[in-house]
Amino acid sequence: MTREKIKEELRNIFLKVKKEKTEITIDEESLLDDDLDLDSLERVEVLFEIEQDFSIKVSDEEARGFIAVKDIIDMIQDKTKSGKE
Amino acid sequence: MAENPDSTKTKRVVVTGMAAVTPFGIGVDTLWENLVNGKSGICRLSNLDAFEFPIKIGGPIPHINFEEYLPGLNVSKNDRYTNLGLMTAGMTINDAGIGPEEKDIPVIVGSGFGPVASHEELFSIFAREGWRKIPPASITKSMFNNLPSMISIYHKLTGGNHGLGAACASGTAAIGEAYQMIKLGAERRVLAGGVDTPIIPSVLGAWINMRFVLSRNPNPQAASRPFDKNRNGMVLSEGSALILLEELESAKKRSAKIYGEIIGYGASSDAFDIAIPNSAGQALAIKRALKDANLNPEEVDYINAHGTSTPANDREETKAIKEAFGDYSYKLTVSSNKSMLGHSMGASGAIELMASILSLKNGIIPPTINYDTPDPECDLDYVPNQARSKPIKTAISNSFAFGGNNSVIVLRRYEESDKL
Repeated sequence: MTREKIKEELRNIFLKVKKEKTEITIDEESLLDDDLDLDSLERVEVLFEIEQDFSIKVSDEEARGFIAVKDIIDMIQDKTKSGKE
Repeated sequence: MAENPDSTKTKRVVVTGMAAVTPFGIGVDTLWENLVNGKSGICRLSNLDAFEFPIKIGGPIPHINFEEYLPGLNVSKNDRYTNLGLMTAGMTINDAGIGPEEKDIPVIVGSGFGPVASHEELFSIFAREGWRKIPPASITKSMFNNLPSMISIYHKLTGGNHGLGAACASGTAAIGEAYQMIKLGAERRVLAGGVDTPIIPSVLGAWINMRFVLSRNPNPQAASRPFDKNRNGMVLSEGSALILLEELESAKKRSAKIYGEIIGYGASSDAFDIAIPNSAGQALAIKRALKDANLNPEEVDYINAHGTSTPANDREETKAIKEAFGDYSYKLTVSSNKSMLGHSMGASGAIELMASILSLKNGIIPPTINYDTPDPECDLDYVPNQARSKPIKTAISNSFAFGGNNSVIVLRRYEESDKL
């Protein structure tokens, strides 16, 4: 899956979790805390949606390393490419 | 707990803010106007047609655009119960004129069911798709204290918060406990009341299967008929009512408007049966409330009854009143707001307390509507069908719940010269 496609899917997940009626704009440098304003619960909700959508498992340790959107894209690309969980 | 103002003296407790959302719509004025005019808020529940329930009536709150009342909040993330309570809390704080620098206020919200629609949703997903599909936000959304906690977060109240569960006495018990906190000098102000939104398919179905509890009268507006011989059950409804209780000197210092005074609270347990009401336990709660208020029974003018319209409650409540008041019961005026509003479970007591405060303030007692046929077992003055003008000084508000939980609050028309 291309980075652009993953980013688009992530944008949909952020929209779903934030339940914003307005659009959310993200780029790879967008920060989960400062730019997307995810609170503690929303971070968990995002992980839940990523696991469902991409059929992958994300460990707690991996999740702690997510600072920007690109970190998530790297992880998804890695896992979907190699087929490992 | 918030800063302790003074724990050495007993304090007078007044009500300085009130807001309600009921089947009549938004606001205390709407509530009062409809109660005084003997209107019914009960209707047919057309949105539940698919379930083919044999009982299709209830008292839902009319549609509300929550976003309008809760700016900056993603209302779609909350249970309906939470949005209703958050909105009501904001209205109460505004009504009381509490500024941002005065928000060290505890919150106690009573509810029978809490965020029950979220429970229904959570368990449906689990049953249908297994645990892996349960959204993580289900935990915070469906926890019983979601609403009091969200009130503290959204309205920036820092005085501690908790939910209180005492079935249909929850709102009254929450206000009773808030009253005690202020009376004993532990708090200066407390936001308290009740919120319940039990009209969802799984809960309605369970009530129907419980038999002899919900009214089987097919005519919505005639279905709730407390104390009438032909009553055959209660009508399920929704409600949200929160008040600001305040220590009198604090209220005077900031020139707050004072709706009325709370002068006593009594609670008891029937210690008898989980669903069958018992007059002995109810009478004990009334006696304790009068004792707490330092009142003789003859000093009470009006009883806002629990009056659910079930055969058992109205009979037992009448017996309890006679046990607590003796021959004087026949001189009392007693009426049931549930004849018009249905039974909003944990919210009902808080709504009825507001109505009682307005009765004291305005000298008008709302009627018990649908009272057509007297029942020899219910032979008191229930203010049938027409509101009554009568200057009154003291009232009690009864809430008698499943579990044998009884809560009674004593209210007085506020006059500065009164003593404790």
